[in-house]
Amino acid sequence: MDIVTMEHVTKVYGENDTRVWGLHDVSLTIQQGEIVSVVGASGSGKSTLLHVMGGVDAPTSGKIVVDGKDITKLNDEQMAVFRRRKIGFVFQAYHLIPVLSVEENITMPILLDHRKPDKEYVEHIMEMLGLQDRRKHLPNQLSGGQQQRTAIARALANRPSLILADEPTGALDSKNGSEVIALLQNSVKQLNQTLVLITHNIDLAREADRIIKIADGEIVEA
Amino acid sequence: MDNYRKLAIRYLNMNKRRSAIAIFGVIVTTVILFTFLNVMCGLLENERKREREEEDYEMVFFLQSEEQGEQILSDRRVKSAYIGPYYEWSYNTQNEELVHANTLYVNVTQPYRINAIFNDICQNYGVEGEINEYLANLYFQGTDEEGMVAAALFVLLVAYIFAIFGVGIVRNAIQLCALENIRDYGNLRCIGASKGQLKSIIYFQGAILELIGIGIGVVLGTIVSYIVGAVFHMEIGFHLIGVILILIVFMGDLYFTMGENSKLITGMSPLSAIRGEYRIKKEKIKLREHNLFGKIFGVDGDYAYKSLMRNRKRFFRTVAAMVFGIAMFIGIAGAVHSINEIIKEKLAEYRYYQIYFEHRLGPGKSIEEVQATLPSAKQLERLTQLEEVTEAKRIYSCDIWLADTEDYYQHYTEEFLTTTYGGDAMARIHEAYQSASEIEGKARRLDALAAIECYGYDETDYARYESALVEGTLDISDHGIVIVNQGKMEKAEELTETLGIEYVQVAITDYHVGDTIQIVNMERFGDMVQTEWERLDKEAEEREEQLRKELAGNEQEFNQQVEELEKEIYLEKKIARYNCWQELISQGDYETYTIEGIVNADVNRSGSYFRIILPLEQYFAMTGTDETMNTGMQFHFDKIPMDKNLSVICNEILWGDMDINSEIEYNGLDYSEYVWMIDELMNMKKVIFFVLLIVIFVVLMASLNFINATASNLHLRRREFAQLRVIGTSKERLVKMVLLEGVITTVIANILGILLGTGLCIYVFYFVNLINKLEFHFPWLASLGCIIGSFLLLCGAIYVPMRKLSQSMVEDLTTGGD
Ligand SMILES: Nc1ncnc2c1ncn2[C@@H]1O[C@H](COP(=O)(O)OP(=O)(O)O)[C@@H](O)[C@H]1O
Ligand SMILES: [Mg+2]
Repeated sequence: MDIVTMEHVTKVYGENDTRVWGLHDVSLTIQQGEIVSVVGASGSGKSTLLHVMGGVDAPTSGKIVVDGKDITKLNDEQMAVFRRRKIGFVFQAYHLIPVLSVEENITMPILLDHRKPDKEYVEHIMEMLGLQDRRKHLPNQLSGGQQQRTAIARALANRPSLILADEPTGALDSKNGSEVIALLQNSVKQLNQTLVLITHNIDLAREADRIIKIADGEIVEA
Repeated sequence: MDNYRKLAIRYLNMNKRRSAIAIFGVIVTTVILFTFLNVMCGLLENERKREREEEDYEMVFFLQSEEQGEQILSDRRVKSAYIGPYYEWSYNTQNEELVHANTLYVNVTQPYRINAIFNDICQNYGVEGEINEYLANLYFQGTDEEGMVAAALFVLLVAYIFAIFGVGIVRNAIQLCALENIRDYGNLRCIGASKGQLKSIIYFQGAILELIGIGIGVVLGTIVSYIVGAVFHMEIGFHLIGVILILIVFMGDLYFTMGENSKLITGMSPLSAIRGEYRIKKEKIKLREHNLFGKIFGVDGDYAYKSLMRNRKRFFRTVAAMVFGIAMFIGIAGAVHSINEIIKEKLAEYRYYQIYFEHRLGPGKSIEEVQATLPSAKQLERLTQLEEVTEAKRIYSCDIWLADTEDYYQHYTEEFLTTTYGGDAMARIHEAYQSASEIEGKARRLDALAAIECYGYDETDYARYESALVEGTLDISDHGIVIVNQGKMEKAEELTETLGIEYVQVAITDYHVGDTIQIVNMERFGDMVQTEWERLDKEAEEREEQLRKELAGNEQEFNQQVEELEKEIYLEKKIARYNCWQELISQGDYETYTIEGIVNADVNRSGSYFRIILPLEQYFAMTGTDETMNTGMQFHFDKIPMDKNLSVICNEILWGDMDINSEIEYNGLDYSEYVWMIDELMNMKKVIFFVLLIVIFVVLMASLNFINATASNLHLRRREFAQLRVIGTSKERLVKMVLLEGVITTVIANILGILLGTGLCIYVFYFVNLINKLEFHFPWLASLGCIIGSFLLLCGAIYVPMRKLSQSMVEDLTTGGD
């Protein structure tokens, strides 16, 4: 089953003289349960690809269908609902809410969706990511690796259709980085979810089912 | 945590101090507002109760038939009713006139709908009637409802102004918190929070702060209301309507201001959160030329000026607010200073014995007569026992009569006769006296020309004049006297420039040491006049008796005749006194006294006249009196008396047993107006205190708002600061650079504010001067206070958040996305 379908997606930043191509006529599909790595030089358009796919940024033209829904047609409110139900983000800078504990950060997307968190499932995720002993801690009481694991748990919590990770290891040393990626890939596999992962680390990228290479906003190798 | 809205509580907890300050602001505004509303409601309630005790009906109907009455009675809107005659006051007959005998007096179930119900009943039952206007007004009804509605609107306006303050402080606190954590809101958007959800977190924060503050404020306000009630002896109670009103205006205002706050954070896109862009509004950054501040402070000044100009609106708003504040402060300080000066000046005029009750002796007045009008021993005792009274003394005073009025008149200075109110009057009296051909004309005016006040003082009081001695000595011989020759006197009317009374300091006479004056034998003069007056009094009595017989039954005629008689006898007495005086002079029965000392101010007593002062023994000798013949009591206070009893006792002395309806008859008792002056001063102090409270409140609220606004502004610029740090600006230098912005703002605001404030002062001073002449003082102290206060406020508002900011700056830079 196709979880993501992008057709002729273009993203242009700025106007006239300062025009920059973020994405240039990109088309691709991603299958349910697939793990896809995105690689490319800095400024090649990797993040832009993730942002339009995850609905935090709108493409200039083209069609993006995620889990059967054309997200380019959604309004702001619908987009927010789409993000919290279908997408799990993991960022380089973690982006946790500093005033919330680990557990609260993880359940936040569920609470935002006006649902009661599934205790067992949340417990399972935390266990899987080794966060059981840290549930009451605030983000600033955690190491970088632990913070990123919390962010991953949060991305998984809502059982999204698609997990998008933008250089999740960028702020970590290599040992912690490999560990986090391994955990991320394992969890995704265990829970039978779909992952799009941006990374500079070729070794880590190779572990994926498929590698997409981007240069100057265009897919050069899929 | 089971609801995302609880994030609001987390944010409030995160900066407890700020939340506490915001709540405190709400509490203060609520306490003041609730007390005000509660007292208003209490007063209204009391007035309704009082009115119902007198006239307990809201409307009357003039019944045409019994059935009509029954119909109205069975109307469910009628609460209670009774039947009776209806009277109305008539201006023509000056009496109550019967309007309608069979009248139904009605109270309705909904007094706030009196008008509507009244019209309805009139129409439904075809009856005429009237509304009890006053009572209806107390329910904002009646034909004159506009007045009460206007009053109610005014109350609402006051409530709204308070709400602006109370909500403003909350808005700023939350805005600041939102800006500090704006990235969180972007992250929440990433993980799927809608704009509405973010808004609800902001609204929730505001509501929590407001409700806590209002809750505590209402409790405290209730207590304060009770205290106010106890102080003014009123029953105030607790009125829910105040709470409801506060909730409506506070929450209503909160709804709108929180909407503004929400826009701030909902404008934050999820993408900018990921990228670490915290600036919300993109601003145009213009290239600017080097400027004055750059020349003075170098590159730092350049940066400060450019930063200020980058947000011109905010800069001008800040400066305008500060200029306004400083000008108001200086203006008020100037007014307070003027009032203080006037008070000081006025109080100083009361001299050593500020309060006295005196009835001077004089020819024709017996000592018994005089002493009968003085306050009772008991009253004087009560005065003496007041804490602030440090001295109480008997007064010895007497009018003594000159033998040669013409000689004395010639000694009046030109200045006194032409520039003062008293001198002007004296000149007129003198002229009338000179040109009078009949004895009547002379006798009428003689006392004004011949009588001089004379006071006897004991050793300590007498010695006090040493400080005012300008010529000769106080150590006088047997036939020597000391005169008070100068006075601060009321200016002649045609010379007065202000609306009030003006004073001039003049020498009254041109007497010098060695000059002499002749004084008639006062003891004999007194005896002679008294014999004559007793004879005249007896004659008057007899004639009145005769009139009563003649005009029995014709009271009006009798009263008129008696009045005529009294006037005649009054003149006869004056003529008799004139004759006695002439007789003494023709017999040479007067003595010559030499002026041996001249003082230029009466240090013991207020009032500025030409006076003779003597040591007691000599006073007794000159006036033929003795120690028992005191003519009053005088009291010294060593500090301004604050005891309420003082004015109570004094009022009792002067009009205690007086019937309000009886005609006030002047009994000759002289008194100082010091007490009433003090009363007025107290009232003025209350007003100043109240104004001060308001000023403090406004300054406090404005400062808090300013501090918060500055902090949010600095937060918006934190990436820029981080960049400055990265390119090698030290923490201290950065703080200094930003502080310079505050310094520039304060300097400009102070210069303009003090200029404007001085203008305001001069303006106030101009009006004060219309009433009371004063010297103008520049309000140095207030200006200095403003400069220091505004510097502390502005620089503090910048320094504190900057120090915190500069610690977390590097983090701000490095967490910025990719
Ligand atoms: N907000 C923006 N405004 C202008 N240009 C942008 C913006 N975001 C990204 N770009 C440009 O789009 C291109 C792709 O950026 P990005 O997707 O972030 O690259 P990366 O592969 O390093 O993640 C870059 O050339 C970048 O300069
Ligand atoms: Mg990137």
